[in-house]
Amino acid sequence: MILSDVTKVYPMGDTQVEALRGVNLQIKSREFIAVLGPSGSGKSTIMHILGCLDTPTSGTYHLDGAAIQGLNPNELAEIRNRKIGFVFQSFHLLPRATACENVELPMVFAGINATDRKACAERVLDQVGLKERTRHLPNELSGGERQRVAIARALVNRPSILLADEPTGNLDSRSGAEILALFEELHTEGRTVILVTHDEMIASRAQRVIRILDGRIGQGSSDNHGRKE
Amino acid sequence: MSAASHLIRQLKDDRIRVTLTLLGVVWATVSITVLTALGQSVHRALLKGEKGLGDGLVRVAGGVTSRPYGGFPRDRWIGFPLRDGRLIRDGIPEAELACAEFGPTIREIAWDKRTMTENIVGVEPAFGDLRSCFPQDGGRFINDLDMRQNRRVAFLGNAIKEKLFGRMPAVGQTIRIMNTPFTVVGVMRPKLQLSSYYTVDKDLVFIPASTFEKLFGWQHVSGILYRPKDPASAQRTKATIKTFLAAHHGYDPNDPRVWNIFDTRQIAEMIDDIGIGMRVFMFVIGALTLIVAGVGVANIMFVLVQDSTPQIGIKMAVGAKPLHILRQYLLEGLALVLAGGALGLLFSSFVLFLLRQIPIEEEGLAYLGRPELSLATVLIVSSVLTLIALAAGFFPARRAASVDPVEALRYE
Repeated sequence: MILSDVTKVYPMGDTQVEALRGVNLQIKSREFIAVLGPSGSGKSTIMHILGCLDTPTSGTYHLDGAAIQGLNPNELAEIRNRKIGFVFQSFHLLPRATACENVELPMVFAGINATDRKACAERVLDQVGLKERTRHLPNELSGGERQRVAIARALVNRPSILLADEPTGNLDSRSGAEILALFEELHTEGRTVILVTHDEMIASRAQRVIRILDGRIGQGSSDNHGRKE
Repeated sequence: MSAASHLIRQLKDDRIRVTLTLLGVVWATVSITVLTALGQSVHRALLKGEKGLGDGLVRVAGGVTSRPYGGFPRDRWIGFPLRDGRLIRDGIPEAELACAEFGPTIREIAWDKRTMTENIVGVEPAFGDLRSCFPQDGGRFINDLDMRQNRRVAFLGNAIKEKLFGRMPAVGQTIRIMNTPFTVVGVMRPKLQLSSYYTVDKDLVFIPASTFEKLFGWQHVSGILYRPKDPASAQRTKATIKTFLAAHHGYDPNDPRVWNIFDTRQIAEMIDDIGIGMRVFMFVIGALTLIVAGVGVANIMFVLVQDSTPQIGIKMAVGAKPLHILRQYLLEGLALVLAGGALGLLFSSFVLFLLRQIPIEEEGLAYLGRPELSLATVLIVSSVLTLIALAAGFFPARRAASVDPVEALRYE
């Protein structure tokens, strides 16, 4: 994943807000990265662009060697479906769908038939430790369990990249620790994991920390690679 | 998750709003269905009423010549005598049931102490079949023997019978026409009759044409009636009779004024057009109601889209294409409308069942006919419903599909 001189400008009323101001970033396959910054620094915008939910105002983004800017909404949707798994701070589960149905969702859009979908969703839920909770609605699950459902959903189409936006932000410390352990495990299995956070402690679990401030990659971005390996 | 199951969950959350919208669709479906079915049955009743005068009946009457012919000057009265009915019957087989009729003439009739002034006509036996004047049980129409023997017998229109006899049986009773006794041999079975050339048959007193001729001394019949055996060659039959009568009475066969023709087929075509016009009118009213319901559906679909913006964002984040979202909301709109439509059709068949229970002996109500839920109506209503559902669902669905996923995920 290569971002070259990426800017992102949002119109907000009469003014233009520059969320990103010339970001250059390269992320290799199978890296475990933390994007660290205070709120409003532009870290979520980076994640949206890396996750193909949004496109840069200027600059280029290459994913697996292919240019992303200029793709139409259908092509972006296809990339999100196949290559990227999202985990959000507030889980973003469909409130009226069971855990299993939530996990099946990405497979619906991949055109997989209902029987295979169900089997696959149940297997992945089992992997994240929710074998007994597949029939429950999100409001019947604890925060930690909901985030596990969200992670199962992010994993179900076997994407190579996992993007997590403050995944432990709404969890108590014990559940947060469990979720982080799960991300480390998924990284060990060979996925690229990108964790967006404002918490130094959480960032320190990653191989590399990218600090972002006022829409720019800041000084002090560190490489924890040696420590982790 | 299918559109239907999503809709059912939405229904639970939004019970009142969805139910009201559904009711709107049900009501509109009932209106269009019942109106279309009524249009159809009224059309049928009109055509049946038109046939009440006689199915495919043609009536030929004489007139005054407008051209000199064969040494005769113009303005000569041409009338047809009673025997012409038989001549055509025997000579022109393609004119079925040809017969002559006298009258009407307004005369005094009496029974018991009751006296009235009514229309009397003199007819030949074929008239009964030709004009669908069928006797009620226990009676008969004028027959050949009545004709040959100049019998004083009468066949009463059902309205005349009511006026004269009330609930009493009439057959076998003796009435007086201009103080001459006539035996009642039959009473007409009630029939739907839309048009006539003097008065409707239920208000007539029928006596044998031969008796009429003798009693009133008429030399010419009022008209000769027939039905073309083959409707396809009706024009040719008409021409044959025209030539035949002109040769027989010595006038120009192309003289337009002698030849007074009354063809129920032309009237039937006109009635048919009126019926079609009315059906279109009814259908348009129904369709307009349905469009109003469609606006309601579009409205609730917009609300649905608005309320589920975060979910749309989630779906897009996990790979839903705009087309997936568009399809989902189109299908939801369709499911909503078709569910309402199905309920509406069910309820309509009940309403039509109730309408069929109305006794329609009454003259005005008779033209309601017997409205039924035909396959054609169901198909028409279903296709209009589908069209409206697609139209009502399209704009909300398009809005849903154009949601920006980043914005949608922030929405909450």
